[in-house]
Amino acid sequence: MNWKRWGIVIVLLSLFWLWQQWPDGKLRVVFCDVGQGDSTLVILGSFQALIDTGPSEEKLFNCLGREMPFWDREINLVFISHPQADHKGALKGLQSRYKVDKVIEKADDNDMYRYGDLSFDILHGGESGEKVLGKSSSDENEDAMVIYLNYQQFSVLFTSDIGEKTELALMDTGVLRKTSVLKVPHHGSKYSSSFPFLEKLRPTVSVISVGAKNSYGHPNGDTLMRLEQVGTNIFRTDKAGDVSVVYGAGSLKVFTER
Amino acid sequence: MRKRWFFLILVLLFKFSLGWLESSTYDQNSRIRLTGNIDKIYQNNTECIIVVGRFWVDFRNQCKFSRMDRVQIVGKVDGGVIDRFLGRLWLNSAVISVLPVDLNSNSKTGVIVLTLERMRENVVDVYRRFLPGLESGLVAGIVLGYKNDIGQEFYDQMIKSGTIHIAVASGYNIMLVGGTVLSVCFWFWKRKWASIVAVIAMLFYALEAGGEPPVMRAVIMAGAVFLAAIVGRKAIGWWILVVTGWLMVLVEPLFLVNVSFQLSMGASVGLMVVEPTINRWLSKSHEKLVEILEGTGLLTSFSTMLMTAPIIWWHFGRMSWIALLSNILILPLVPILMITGAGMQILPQVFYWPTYAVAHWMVRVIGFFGM
Repeated sequence: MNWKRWGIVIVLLSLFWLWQQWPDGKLRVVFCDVGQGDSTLVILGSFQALIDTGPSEEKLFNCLGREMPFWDREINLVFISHPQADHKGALKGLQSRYKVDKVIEKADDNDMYRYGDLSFDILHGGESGEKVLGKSSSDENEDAMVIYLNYQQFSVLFTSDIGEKTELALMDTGVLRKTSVLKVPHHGSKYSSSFPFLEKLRPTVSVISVGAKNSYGHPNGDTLMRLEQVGTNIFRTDKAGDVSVVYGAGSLKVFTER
Repeated sequence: MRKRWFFLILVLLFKFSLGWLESSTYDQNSRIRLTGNIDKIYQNNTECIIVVGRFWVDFRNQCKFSRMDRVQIVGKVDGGVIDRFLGRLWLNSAVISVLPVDLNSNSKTGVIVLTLERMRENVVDVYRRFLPGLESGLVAGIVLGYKNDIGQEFYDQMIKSGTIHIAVASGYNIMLVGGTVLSVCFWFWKRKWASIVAVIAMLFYALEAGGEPPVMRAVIMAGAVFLAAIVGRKAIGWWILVVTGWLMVLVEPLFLVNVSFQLSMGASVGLMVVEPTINRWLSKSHEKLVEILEGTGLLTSFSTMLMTAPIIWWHFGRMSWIALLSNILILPLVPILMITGAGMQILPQVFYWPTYAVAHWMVRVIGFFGM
């Protein structure tokens, strides 16, 4: 066996592989396919933030393994939009496997978290990171944290599980504007994504984070129709797997796992 | 030789009659409440079977229990003819609750098992902290036979690609542990003591690996080979395999229906009987071909596949024709992964790079063939 030749091949392959995994300086927003739940990974250089963890550790770790460089075991920021299992279920497991610098389960309206040009503006702070006994599920949904991600000319609105009531309240505050990407509220429920709300945002891309053959009937047909009416490009994690939106040099590209 | 076979069968029959007598003390359909520690857990694709004493309970979902959990089960006694011969009773419509564990009141065996379990978790934790999800699950499976971290989706891909057998601690691992310890011990002691220490090390590893049938089979076989070397007798591979299988079935008749046991025995027959036979047969006319087949590992893969594919088909309902190709791309790397995986326990910062590289390649191959 020619060890020298094999050594050179292995070194070259390793270098190519490292180059392939090295962060490219573009902003990547990955809507992970975590089944019936939400989890979105935001990557800019060596910075990583996660918005919700989804219900399944297995699916979340698979997504992080695919998207993050293998040597990077640190997540700088984790937002938990509200305490239901489909958004927070894998948090404990995440903390045992990754170094999580900061977990934000409760924020005040108008709080802002910045990383260079990248900012996370809290439009709706959520009421509490803990599950409140006696509080109905729909109340918890309406209280969920809403985050506006801004980077240069690019923006993503993370709407967690909010319903029409919170959507209209947000419109009244006048903070909403045309948005590059919308994380469709509440997995495409018919009680969310009201037409005025969608018309105000007019998102170029809309992503529905939803589990295949879920028992809730998400996404609802009426919601899909409303999204089509505003002319947005719809991507569903149950059909496309992980949906990655990449923004760099003023252009936006979407990649899907399947 | 005929007398030996007769003796082995006679002892098995005796064991089965004991099982029948034991299980006959319970009436069919009688309702019982049972408290005890979970002795064994069998996790298949869609079912979880737990064993408490002679009682077996089948849950049609993922396991939410751990071995040695103290549980209370209420259910109806059931058991077919074969089950009764095997001395096992199934509890139907069972309701199970996990009781809090009081370490102080546990038996010595319980404490030892719990300690081993914790050590195992600590070992697996290193992989979890340094490697991404799929890769860490695979490495824990190959190095320690730990399957809990292999997700359902990836597990299915492994079955489809015919590579599920690599996530089992077995002969490879035992050879590595035994061989390394033996080589080190030769520096200090003579053959006898070095062999004894190596057997103890292999036994410890087997217990750490969860005491699954394949690893226990490998320990018994390796122990027999070492023993033969100590007493100066010739070790006949296939006969050691037969006696090991017989011994295991004698201790636990249910191994006969255990997939891991069947796969392990099948693979061993493939390696120890089928491969040499094909080799001899082909060598007569195609010497060059044999060289190529041996060099690429194709003969080994084919021989083991010939014996394991029917078992996989029987249990999982599919026979993977691409297994030969996927195994050629993966099997040569298994020993490397075991070495770097073991290295991660000492110097994780150094060894996780090569471990990830190899594991990632395997994940990609399994993903490609298991699509």
